[in-house]
Amino acid sequence: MSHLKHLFCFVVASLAVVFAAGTLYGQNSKHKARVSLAYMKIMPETSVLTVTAKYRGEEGFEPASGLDFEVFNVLQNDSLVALGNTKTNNEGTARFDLKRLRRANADSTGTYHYLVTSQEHPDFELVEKDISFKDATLTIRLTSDQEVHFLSAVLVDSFSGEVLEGLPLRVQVQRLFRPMRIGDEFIITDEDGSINVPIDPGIPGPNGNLTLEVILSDDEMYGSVKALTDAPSGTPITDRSGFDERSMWGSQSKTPLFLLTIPNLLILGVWGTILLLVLNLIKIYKSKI
Amino acid sequence: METDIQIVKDLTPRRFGRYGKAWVVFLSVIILASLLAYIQQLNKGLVVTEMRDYALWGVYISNFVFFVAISLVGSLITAILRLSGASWSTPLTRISEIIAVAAIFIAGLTIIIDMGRPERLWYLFIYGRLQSPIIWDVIVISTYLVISLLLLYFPLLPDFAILKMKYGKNSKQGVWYRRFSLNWKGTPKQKELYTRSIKILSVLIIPVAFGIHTVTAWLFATTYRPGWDSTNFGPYFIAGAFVAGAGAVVTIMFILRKVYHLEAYISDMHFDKMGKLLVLLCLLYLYFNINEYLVPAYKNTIGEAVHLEELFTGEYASLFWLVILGGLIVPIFVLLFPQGRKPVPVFLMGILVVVGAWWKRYLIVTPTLLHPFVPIQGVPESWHHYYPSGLEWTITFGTLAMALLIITLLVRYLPVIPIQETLEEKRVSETINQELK
Repeated sequence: MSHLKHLFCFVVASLAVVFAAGTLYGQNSKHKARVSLAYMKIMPETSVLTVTAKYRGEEGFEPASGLDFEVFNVLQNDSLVALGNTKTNNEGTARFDLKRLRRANADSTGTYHYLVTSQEHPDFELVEKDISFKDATLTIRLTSDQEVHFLSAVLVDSFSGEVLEGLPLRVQVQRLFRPMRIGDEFIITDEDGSINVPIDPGIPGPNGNLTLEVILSDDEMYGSVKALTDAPSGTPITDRSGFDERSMWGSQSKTPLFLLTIPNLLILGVWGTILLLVLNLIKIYKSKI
Repeated sequence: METDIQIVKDLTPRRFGRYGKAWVVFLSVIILASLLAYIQQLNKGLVVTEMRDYALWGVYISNFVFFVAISLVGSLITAILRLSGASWSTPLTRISEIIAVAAIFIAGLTIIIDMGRPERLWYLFIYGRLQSPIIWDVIVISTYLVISLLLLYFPLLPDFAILKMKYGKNSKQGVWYRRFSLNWKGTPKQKELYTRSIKILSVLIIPVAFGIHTVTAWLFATTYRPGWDSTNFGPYFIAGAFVAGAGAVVTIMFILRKVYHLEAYISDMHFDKMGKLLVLLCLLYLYFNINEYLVPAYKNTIGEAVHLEELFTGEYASLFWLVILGGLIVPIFVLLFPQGRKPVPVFLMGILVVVGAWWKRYLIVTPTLLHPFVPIQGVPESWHHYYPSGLEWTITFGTLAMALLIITLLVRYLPVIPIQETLEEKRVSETINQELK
């Protein structure tokens, strides 16, 4: 009987060890996601929180895709207001639209605090990250002097209304693949919080229109702030694309006319003759004398 | 009159003997095996072949170009020699027309075999762009097939009427010959329509035949690849096609003469003349070959140098020199001498030329594909080489067997030498002899 008792104890102990090992192994197999937050304001009222998550995989850092995050606004009294959820894409990036920032959501210094917490995921441990930033307003204006166009921009702290001096702004024009810089790499705001940049003549744009951007990039306090404007200060693009023209490399409906007429006339000529020959066969068949 | 009856008797199609039946069974077995192989290809896709992203045209397209080349013989013997007044070619016209019809039919079939999704053949007509040489090829091949059929059929009308009379109205064969003879009675009206139609066809087939070979050459020459990037490809293909077609005619005319005892109709003179014609065509083709290899070798651009090295001293060297020497140089030397233009040597040279012509097309298609100007990065090593799989060979042999079976069956039911024309030529020569006396 005691043998049976020992055997029972051994089996239970073995199962417990296996279960515990499995549980521990299961826990260890989860990755630790590294999360970073970035804030961007696109003038006038779009504010976006970008969540980037990655983990150390077998081939270095890899994007943590499919990870759900809940976004909270942290109020002055440390209470949390849930704003919604967002999920990382294949590149491990998720964007959350903060809509319009409200002053009531900021603390007494005009700083906004947000917290992002990950949801339960089979591959990743729970993680949370917070971000704080102040709201800035970037206004841009086009001026011209003797046919030279200038882009002026003023950067102001939205809460205090003070102009922001000594911050680096980048001026660029939107292009198809990546923006093209105008002027120096960074143009520092002066004591009025403003910059004034001449726009190079001869930049091509559709109908001469350019979309100009001024950006404050990744500032510690204000995050990124971007303002855009359309300016008719470029050179109209002359469309040299033959896409809509009839060409040898065009589609079936864009066959060149010479290729439609000459070969088809030849084909008609040959097949017309063939038809004539078949008619001759019929005439031979019906011929009496 | 006695002789007329003898001529009709000699030239009437005959039943298969023991060897004939065995030949048909042999061909049918190969065709059946190729059908089974093709069903496998249909089920599993072109992945069962050795064709990959590099060698995307393999043995099938080589075979297609070969059959297109062989089909040119219809225009050479029937049209060009007829229009040039070479009456000695009369006994060879039917043979060449039969070869042309069989070859062009199989050429069209081979294109379908090469398609991974043959049920989409219809798309060529719906979505085809006239800018593409492939569409030109589709149009010209179907046109050439119809013209070749008409060129075979028109001269058969009087022969069908003769065979109808020979077999009688009530026999099974007589009924078929009567139907196909289209009430041919040889009336002046019928003769006028007949003569005019054959003249039109003889003229019409020449540009279409040149068109089919030029367009087939353009399938290659319009792509920027070493070995294909040539403005001479059209004439080069036409010259090669004349050689292949003439080689096929001398080979088959020797076999038919032997099997059907046609020595009185296909004489040594015919072999001598065809031998001379073949040597002339081989010399012309040799000229184009020198042109095609010498100029790129002189310029020696990187792509062309790699390609030519592969042909002259590389992986394909033995095949290349066998084709050039065996399929071109040796026939030229043998056929230049009168003794070489006797039936047996001409027949042997014909076989060499035809086999050489097949491998020549293989050498035109394959090595070029293995050395593209813009190589794909990181391709498997196996993609740099191509040799057809057993399945591809089975299907290819099936098409060759099918072409031979079509020729065999046409020879079984059609007079291989035009009866009416032979009778007329005999009468004309008798009249001339009498007048001379």
